[in-house]
Amino acid sequence: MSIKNKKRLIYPGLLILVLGSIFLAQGFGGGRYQISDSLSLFSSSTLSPSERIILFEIRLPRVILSFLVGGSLSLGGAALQGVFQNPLVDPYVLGISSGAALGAVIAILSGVYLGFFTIPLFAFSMALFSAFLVFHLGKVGKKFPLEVLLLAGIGVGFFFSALVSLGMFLAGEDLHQLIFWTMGGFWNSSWREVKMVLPFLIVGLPVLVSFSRELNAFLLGEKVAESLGVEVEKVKKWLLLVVSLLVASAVAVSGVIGFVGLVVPHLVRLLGIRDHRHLLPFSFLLGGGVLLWADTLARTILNPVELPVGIITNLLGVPFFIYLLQKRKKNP
Amino acid sequence: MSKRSSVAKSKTVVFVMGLWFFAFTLAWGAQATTICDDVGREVEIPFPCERIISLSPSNTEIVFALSLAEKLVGVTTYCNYPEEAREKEKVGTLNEINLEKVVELEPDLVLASSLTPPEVVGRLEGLGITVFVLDPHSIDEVIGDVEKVGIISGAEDKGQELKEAMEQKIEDIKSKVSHLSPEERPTVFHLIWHEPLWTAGKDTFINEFITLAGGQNVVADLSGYITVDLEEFVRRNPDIITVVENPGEGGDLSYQFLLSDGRLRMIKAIQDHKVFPVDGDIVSRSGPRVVEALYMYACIIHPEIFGEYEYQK
Amino acid sequence: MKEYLQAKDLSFSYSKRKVLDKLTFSVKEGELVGVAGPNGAGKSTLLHLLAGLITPGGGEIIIGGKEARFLSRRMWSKKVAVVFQEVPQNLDLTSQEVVTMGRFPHLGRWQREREVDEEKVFWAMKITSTTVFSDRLFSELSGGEKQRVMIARALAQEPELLLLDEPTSHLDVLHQLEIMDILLDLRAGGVAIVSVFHDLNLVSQFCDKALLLKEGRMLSFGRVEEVMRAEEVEKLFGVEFLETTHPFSLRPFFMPLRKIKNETHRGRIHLICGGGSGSPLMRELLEAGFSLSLGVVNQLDSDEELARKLGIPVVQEKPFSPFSPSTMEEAYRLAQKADFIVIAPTYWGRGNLPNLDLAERLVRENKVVLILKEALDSRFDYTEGEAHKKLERIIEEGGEVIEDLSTYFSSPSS
Repeated sequence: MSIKNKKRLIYPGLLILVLGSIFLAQGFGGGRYQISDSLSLFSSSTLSPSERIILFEIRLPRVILSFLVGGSLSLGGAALQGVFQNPLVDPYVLGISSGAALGAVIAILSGVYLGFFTIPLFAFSMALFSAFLVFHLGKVGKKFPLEVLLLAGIGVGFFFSALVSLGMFLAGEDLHQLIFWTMGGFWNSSWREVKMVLPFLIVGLPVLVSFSRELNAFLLGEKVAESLGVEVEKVKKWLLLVVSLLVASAVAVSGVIGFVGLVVPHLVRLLGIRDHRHLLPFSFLLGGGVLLWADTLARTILNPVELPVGIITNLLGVPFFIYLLQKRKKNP
Repeated sequence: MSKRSSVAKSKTVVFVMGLWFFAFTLAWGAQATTICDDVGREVEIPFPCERIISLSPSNTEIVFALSLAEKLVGVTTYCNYPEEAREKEKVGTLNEINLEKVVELEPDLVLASSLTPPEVVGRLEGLGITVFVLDPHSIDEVIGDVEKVGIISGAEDKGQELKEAMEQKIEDIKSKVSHLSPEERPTVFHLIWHEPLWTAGKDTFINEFITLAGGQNVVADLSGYITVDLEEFVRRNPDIITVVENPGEGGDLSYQFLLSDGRLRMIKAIQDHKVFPVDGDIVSRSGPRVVEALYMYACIIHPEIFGEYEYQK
Repeated sequence: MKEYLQAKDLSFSYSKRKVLDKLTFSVKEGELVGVAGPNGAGKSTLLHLLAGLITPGGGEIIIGGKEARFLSRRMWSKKVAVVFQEVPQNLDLTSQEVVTMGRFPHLGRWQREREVDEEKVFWAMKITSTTVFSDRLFSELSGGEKQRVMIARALAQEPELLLLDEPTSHLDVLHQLEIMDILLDLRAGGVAIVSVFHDLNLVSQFCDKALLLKEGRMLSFGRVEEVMRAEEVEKLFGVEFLETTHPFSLRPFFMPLRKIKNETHRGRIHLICGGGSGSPLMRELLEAGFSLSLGVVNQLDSDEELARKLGIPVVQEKPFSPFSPSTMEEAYRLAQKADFIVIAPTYWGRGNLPNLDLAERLVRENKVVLILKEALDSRFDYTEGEAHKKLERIIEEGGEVIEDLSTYFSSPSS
């Protein structure tokens, strides 16, 4: 029962950590930390209009967006790892990242301008389309056998990636724009992007958490889960749908940021949390925090030059995989 | 001394001097048939030089500027200036060159760029084709290239003429702004792309344009082509912003960004409506139009001296 | 005690292969039914059907008085719990957490485990002797321990019908008997139980009823004392058993003796074939326990070659030669020793037409002549109808046309 007490402390603890992170991250700018910037969150009366813009229209939305995106990706990753009963699954397994990249390519190449949300809109639509394609290809009768889904995801992913490469080749001079997009990052994040991601989270997080018990049952295998009363195919459908929306919205606003969705749920499991009722919200909070700090690092370390945050998260993956290797070597 | 021996002596002297002179001319003549390109290669001047291939848009522009249009037999798909360049035979893009095509066209001279893959240069060399690599990093180096290309293509005179014309124009602009104090030099930010913000620091052509035209590059403390934080952009508060537009492809997204993103409202350039689109083909190429680019910047930065800037799409 | 589970004409096919064929049986509350049969008999499939995991191709299942197809997944899981043969791999949950999963059908979506749930979990673990591993990770347990935990999980579901697929296969003797005790306790408490056992004696010693399944068909179903006799069991496994009575339980106990020798068991068949038409039949019949003879075929004919390899007596003619009268006489004498004559779908030409005459002669002598229906197809006839005429005559004289050999020989009249 002491585990339960520990858990009771951890939730508020994490929440405090999150708020604290936002507070601290707000102070990082111009390559250094200034506590006055952090404190400005409480009182901003002494700021000049320029400073106000910088702090509340550029920096704060970026800090919050990085948190929301990191949370969405980790939440999606945790849920997918549960559905597929496979810890190596990441949120892009349904070809979403390639689809989104293709959308961005099309937007940039076509030069169509529908307002500031042109690229996110195209990316989001193509991401959803690729997920839809994967569902369709992965369906056998009325069921969604997992191996088939995975194969379909890989296939669709490769196909769209090939198209992206083609687009990049044809683009020639526009190449650099696409490269930045596929590396993932939070430049130019504003409250608009936050508003694009938030609705999906507000709906997605509770919905996914509500499937916790089913996800727990999935751990025993689909057959046992079904014998326990889980409507396996229905659950799969809903989970995949919600996760697709969540991940597509995240990728649409910030490009393809790797590893967060894969690594964070494992970190949570390392803490001894396997019950999805806690694994999911923890993954969300921890993932948000991780990406928040990764981005803070990305925009501070070489300031004023910005590093794409995807580079930092990819570096995260290395020690993680080393750890996984060690673990498997001990327990083959 | 007898008259005979002094005549003999002078003959010997003349003969020896003649020998020296002959040897010297020979040596000088031998040196005169090679020229060094921008990557340090000693290239032999082809003779005759009737067929030229250009592997970059700026090289194409140089060739046309030297009135060698009839000799140009191959260009890249990006070569679009002047109009006549579009009609020339295409041999590839900036990084992908069709070797067979090049060889087929039997060029006497191939003008490569820094983007041409070194293997291509090597292969062409191996096939006995003269390759000259151009890779200028400043306006002076561009002028130097114009001169060199003039020499190597047998249009030395035209090259000299063009060089002088360019130097003259530059001098003209320089002199008109030399008297300006730092306060009279507006700060300029050049935007290449907005997601992320991509700009040009020192050691770039843009930087030269800005500086020579009587302005200050607001990111002169940074080196090369770099991305900056949006925050930083707001903080630096440039007086003038120039933004690259790629004509014909609807590529004015960055310009739209500048005009529509409300967070930029406190930047001086935005408030004063001093946001100027510039033709990417002109400001990003290291050909003879650098002078035109410089003049554009001069108009943008000091319309009171050079006249209003007019942008044609 | 009333009927809890009823299966009527239950069938299931996988692609085109029939896996289960018209099973009818019932299980009462508090009754323990053991399912036994050789590998591939369809036992697991039966359990999957009863668990509602697959839909029957025919027939129906009634659980607790309700037709199963009208039950929602959740309702079904409240009534029926399954212990599968396979055990989850790489499961990083504690044993207690695994057993607690069993409470799933009894909890609402947002409900936390209540005291009553914890009690049930504790009870389930106590009777399976798994309380010791409560906090140990499932993946670290031995095969047998994992199985017990999975049984505990099923028990935690509080089922009215418990289905088990070889629950004792990884257990040592002690734990085997413990599990049987648990099943008997549950049975006493009114739970209906259907369990597949690989060990025949577990069925005969502990179960109330036995369901003997072979190749998808129910060989027999009923009380162990009535149904589990040596002959039935031998038919089931193709192995000779010695039946004794267990000194304590006084129930039948079977000791395997040896594999049943098939040779003279079912009879002898003389095959009239050639050109490969007899090859599939030879194998089928040999395996079914018949002894065979063949004739007449030419040497170098593929049927002749196969017959030689299988050690079947063959009457041969020289290659490519028409059958001579003396060869036919030899065949006649060989065919006399057979109980059945079977005519396979052969290509008939002038050369092998005498085989049909032989058959006609044999049928007149009241030998049982069976003609495979396919043999009557005119595409085999290269004799401008003569072969067909001969076949007709054979039929007139008493030759029987049959669909296929397996149906004919498995029906009760043979």
